[in-house]
Amino acid sequence: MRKQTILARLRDTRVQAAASLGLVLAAAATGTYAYWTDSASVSGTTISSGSIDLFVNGANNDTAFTSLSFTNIVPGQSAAGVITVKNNGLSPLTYYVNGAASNADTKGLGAALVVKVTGDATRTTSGTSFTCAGNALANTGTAFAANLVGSPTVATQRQLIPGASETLCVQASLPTGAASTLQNATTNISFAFTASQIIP
Amino acid sequence: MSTRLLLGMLGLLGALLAAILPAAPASAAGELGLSADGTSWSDTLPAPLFDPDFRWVPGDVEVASFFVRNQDPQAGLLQVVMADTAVRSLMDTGDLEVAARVGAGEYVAVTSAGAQNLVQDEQIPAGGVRRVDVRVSFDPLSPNTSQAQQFDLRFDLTLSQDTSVLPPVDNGGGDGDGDGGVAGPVDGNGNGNGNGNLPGTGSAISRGLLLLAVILCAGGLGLVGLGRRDRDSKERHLHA
Repeated sequence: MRKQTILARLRDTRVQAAASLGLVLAAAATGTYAYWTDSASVSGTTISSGSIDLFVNGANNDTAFTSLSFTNIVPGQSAAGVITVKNNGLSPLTYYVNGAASNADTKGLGAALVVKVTGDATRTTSGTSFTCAGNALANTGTAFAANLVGSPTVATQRQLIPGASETLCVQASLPTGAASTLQNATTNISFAFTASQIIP
Repeated sequence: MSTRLLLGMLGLLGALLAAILPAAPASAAGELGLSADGTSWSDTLPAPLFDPDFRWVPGDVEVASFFVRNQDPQAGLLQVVMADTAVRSLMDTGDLEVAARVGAGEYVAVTSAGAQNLVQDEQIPAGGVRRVDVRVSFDPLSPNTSQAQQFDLRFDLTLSQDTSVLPPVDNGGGDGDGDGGVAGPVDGNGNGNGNGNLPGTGSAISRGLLLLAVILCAGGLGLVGLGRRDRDSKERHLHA
């Protein structure tokens, strides 16, 4: 019954005409949609952030540095050791070094030592002592204390480009006029390196 | 199923297809010109905007510029989108900001990856040139986690016909190159930009679809004719 009704409607000339008109209109409406467009790509580049990585004697931390060790030091003698500092990162950096001397026996041996930091690559043996032969670097201190090499002020810091390295020769001398109370004293020396990116 | 019903259904199907098929914009080429210096034009830039060997650190701010020219005789609308790229770890830190502006306008900045619109519907008249500035800033307070990361920066530019502006009247054969700013024909496919006509414009309907429309129209007319003949036959039968 329903099929017959549909067939009857499809046979209706008006329905057929309307369907044909709809087809034409649909095609015409589609065809009127036209505008131009063009596109392109612009490469900004691959933005790569840099990095800074300070190596001390080939590692991030050197807990086995012994070349400054000196047993039974007496006034007039000195110890010396060389530290290699490297920028293992991708961006330039600056660094500074704070020194510290322990004083467990409260005798103050560390504070009595006179320090000199040079750029020598090797230490020099002088009799029973070891020394750094060159001149002291700029902005270096004379005690195992803060600001031994440079300071938090950027202008005083050492600068290293990516992949570059340099040596610091640290010499510690016990002055000839050292007090007798320093006999049989002991101190442990440590260094803290702090590196920063160079501010653009 | 009767022939009429079949034809009727085909007609409806054809109408439906014609209605739902997407109408693509007219294909065109060469409307969008690019230049690094505002002098030499091409469809690409000769080099990336920023030095790929540069290693960015917190606090870096770099600005690069390029020029866009509407090389069509009609006004266009420029859209600049920062593209969604796969290499994005640096952008994902949230410490990198990418911004763009047209001319002396305000920068529109984004700090996250993904396709994002930086310039929307900037009108460029026929032959007009616009400078686009791109600024990339690295947050000076960015921590160490942003070290050795990367972001592939790319922009997708689209120049579309500005349909709100009436096209210039075709002078019926003149060269239509009176703006002095369009560097002659650029598409090289015979559509020509110098005659005032849109390059490659017209219906997006394919030839096949047009053929189908003709067939369906013929079918519809046939149905009408068959219906009329059937009715006349019935009337004659009744009169007899």
